[in-house]
Amino acid sequence: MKELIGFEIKKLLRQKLIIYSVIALLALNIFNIVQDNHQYLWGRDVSYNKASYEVYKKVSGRLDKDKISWLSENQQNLSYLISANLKIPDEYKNWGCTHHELSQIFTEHLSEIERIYSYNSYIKDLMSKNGDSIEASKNAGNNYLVKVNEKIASTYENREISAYYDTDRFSAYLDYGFSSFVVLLIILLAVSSVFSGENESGMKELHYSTKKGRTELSIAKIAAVSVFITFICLLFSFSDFVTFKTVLRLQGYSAPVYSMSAYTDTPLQISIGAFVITAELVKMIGFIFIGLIICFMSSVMKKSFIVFSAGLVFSIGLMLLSAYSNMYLDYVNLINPINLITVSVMFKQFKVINIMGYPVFNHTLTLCCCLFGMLSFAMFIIATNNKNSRKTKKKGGLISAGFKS
Amino acid sequence: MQVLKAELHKLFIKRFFLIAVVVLIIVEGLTTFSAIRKSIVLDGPSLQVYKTYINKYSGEITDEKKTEIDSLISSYQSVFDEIEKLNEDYAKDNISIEDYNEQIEKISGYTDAMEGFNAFERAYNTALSTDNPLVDVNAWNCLFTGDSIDIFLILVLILLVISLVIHDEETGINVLKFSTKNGKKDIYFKQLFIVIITSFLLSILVSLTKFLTAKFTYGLNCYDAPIRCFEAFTFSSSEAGVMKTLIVISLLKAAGGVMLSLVAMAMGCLTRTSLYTAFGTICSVYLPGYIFMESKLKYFVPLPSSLLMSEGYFKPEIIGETIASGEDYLFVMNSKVYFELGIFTFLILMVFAGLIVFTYIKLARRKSI
Repeated sequence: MKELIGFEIKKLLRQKLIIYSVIALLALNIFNIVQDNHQYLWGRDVSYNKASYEVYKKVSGRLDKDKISWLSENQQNLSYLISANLKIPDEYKNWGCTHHELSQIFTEHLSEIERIYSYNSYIKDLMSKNGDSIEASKNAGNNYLVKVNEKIASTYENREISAYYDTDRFSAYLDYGFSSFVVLLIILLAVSSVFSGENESGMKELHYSTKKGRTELSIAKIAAVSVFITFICLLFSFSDFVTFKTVLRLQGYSAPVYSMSAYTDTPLQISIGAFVITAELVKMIGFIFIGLIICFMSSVMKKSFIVFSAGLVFSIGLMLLSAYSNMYLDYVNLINPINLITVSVMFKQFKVINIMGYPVFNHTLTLCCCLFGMLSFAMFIIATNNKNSRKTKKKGGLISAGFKS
Repeated sequence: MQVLKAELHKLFIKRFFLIAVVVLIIVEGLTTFSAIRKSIVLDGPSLQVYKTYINKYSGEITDEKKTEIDSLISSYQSVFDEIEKLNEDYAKDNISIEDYNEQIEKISGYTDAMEGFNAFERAYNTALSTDNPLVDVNAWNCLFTGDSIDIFLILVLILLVISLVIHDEETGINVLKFSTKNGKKDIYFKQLFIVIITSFLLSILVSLTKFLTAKFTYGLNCYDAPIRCFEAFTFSSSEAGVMKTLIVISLLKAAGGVMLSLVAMAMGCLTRTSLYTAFGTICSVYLPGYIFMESKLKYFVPLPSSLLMSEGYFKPEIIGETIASGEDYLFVMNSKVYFELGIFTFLILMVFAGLIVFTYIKLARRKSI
C-alpha cells in the first residue's frame, strides 16, 4: 500500500505544468500580499509608519502605569504645543515625522489601550447581565436558554487583556483570502484528473485487471490526494506567514485571540499563535474535503475538463451558500467545507446550534460534520470505483477497452 | 466552404455544443430572473402601485408632474392621519370594534399599497435631491453586474475552444488532418474564424437574454435616462443614456469574450490538453480582478478580464479619500481621459489578440510540417 501511495503522489508531482502553476501562483500570492500591504514597507506613509512603529516598540508588551503615563503625557504636551502654536522641542523632532503626525500616533496608541481597558469592563458587564439572564430563564422554565447562558458564562468568565500588542495586523493576515482561492484552483487542476485522467488515457481497464487495482488503488489515490493537498496548504500557509511577518512585522503571538478587535466575541480562549496554527489546520481539513468531493466527481465523470468545470461551479455555489444564513441554511452550512476555509469568519462570533436541547458550538459541529462528510466521500469514491470495475468486467474487461485477448 | 461546414457540424452537432448553448441561455435567463426577484423587496399590490406610479411619472420631473405627485403624497398622508385617528379613537373607546373594522376595510386598498407608494416617494425624493430624472432602476440595476464575471459564459467559451481545436490535438486527429490537402492549407483560419464569430455572437446572445428576461419579467423603461441615475454609476459624469451604455458595454464584453477564446486557443496550442487550457484561461480571467480588487487598474490590465468587466470604464472617477490626497491620479481623472485610457487598453488588447492569432497559426503550421 505504501508503495502504491508513493507512486500516486509521484504521479501528481511529476506533472510539470502543475509544478509550474504552483510556483507561478506562489510568486503571485507573495506579490499580492506585498502590494496589498505595501504602505507598511514603502509609499507615502513610510515616515508615519516608522514613527508609529518606534512608539509601538516602546509601549507594547505588558501594560503598566509608566508606559501609559509616558504616552498620555507626550500626547497632551504635543497637543498643547500645537494648539498654542509654540516652539516644538527637539525631542519631538527626532521621530522622523511631523509633530501633527506624532500627536496623531500618540492618540492612536492611547485609544487602542483604552479599547483594551474597556474590553475588561465590557466582559464584567456581560457576566453580570448573563447572571440575570440565567435567573430569568430559570424562572421562565426555558432549560435550553439556561444552558446557552451557562455556556456564555463558562466561555467568557475570567477574560482579561493585560498586554498591548498591535493585534489588528494579525486580523489582516487571518482574513487574507487570495491564497485560499489560489489553493482551490491548484486542487481543481491536480485532482480533476485523478480518476478521469485514467479513463481518458485508457489506463482504467488496465488497473481493473490488476490485483490491487480496485479498493487498494482507490485508497491509495485518496491518500495521495490528501497528502498533496496537505503539502500545498502547508506551502501556501508558510509563504503567507513569512510574507505577512516580514511586511506587517507581526508581534504578540502570546496575546489572547480576543485581544484582536475583530475577535472580541470569539468563543476561543487560546493565544493568537495557537489560533494561527488551529486556523491553518482547520483550513487544511476544508481543502481536503473539497479535494475529495472533486475526486468523487472525477470517479463519476469521464473527462477531466468537465470535472474541472463542475468543480469550479460547485465551489462557487458553496461560496454563495456560505454567504447566506437563515434557520435552514445554518444546518446545511454545517457540511459546507467553505466554512472551514474561511475559518476566521467562523470563529469571530459566539454561535451555538440547538442539538436535542443542548447548545453545541457551531464551529465544533461544522468540523465534526465535515470530517464525517470527508469519510463519506472517501467511501463513495471507493464504492464508485468498485462499481465501475464490476461494470467493465461485465462488458468484457480489457477486450472492451480495445485490448486483444 | 465545405471545410467550414464540416467544422461547424463537428462543433454544434457531433460535440453537442448546441446543447451547451441552449443550457447557457436557460441558465442566464434564470439567474437574471432570480437576481431581479431578489433585488425587489415589494410584492403583490405594493409592487403594482409602485410600478403604476413610477411608469406614469418617469422621466424629467416637470412642474406639472411635481404638483401631481405632491398632491398624491398629501392624499396618502391624509390616509395615514386617518388611520392614526382611528387607532386613537379605538384606544379611547370612542368607536366600536365594528365601526373600526368597517373604516379600516374602506381604506385597506390604500394600506396594502402603502409600502409601494413609500418606495415611489423615496425614488421621487432621491430624483429631486440629485436633480436626476425619475427612473425605475430595479431591473436595470440587475443588468449592470459590476465587477462580477459571468462564470457560465466563460466555461461555455472554453468548451467552444476545447471542442473545436484542442479535442483534435488531444485525440491525435490533427495528425490525420495534416495529411490532407485542406488540413495543411487553411483549416486553422477557418477554425479561428468560427471561434471569433461564435464567441462574439454567444456573448451578445447572453447580453440579449439578460435584457429580454428583464424586459419581459419585470419591464424596462426610460431608455434615455442618464446612467448616473443607476446605483453602479451614481457619481459618473457621463451623460450617455442607459440603453446606449448597455449596448456599448455588451459590445465591449463581446470583444472580451473573443479575447478570452483567443487566449484559450493560445493556451491550448501551448499545453495541448483541455484541463490545462481551462485552468490557464480561468486564471487569466479571475486572478487580475482578485489582485487589483481595490484598484481601478483591473479595468486596464491587457487581459480578457478587463473587457469582461467593462462597466468599470463608465464608473465614477471620484473616490472621497483619494481625491483628498490627490496622489492616486488614476482615480481623479476626468471622464474624457478615462475614456481615452479605455480605448488605449482596447487597442493594446487588439494588438495582443493579433499576436495570439499569429502565434497560434505559427504553432499549428509548425506541427503540420
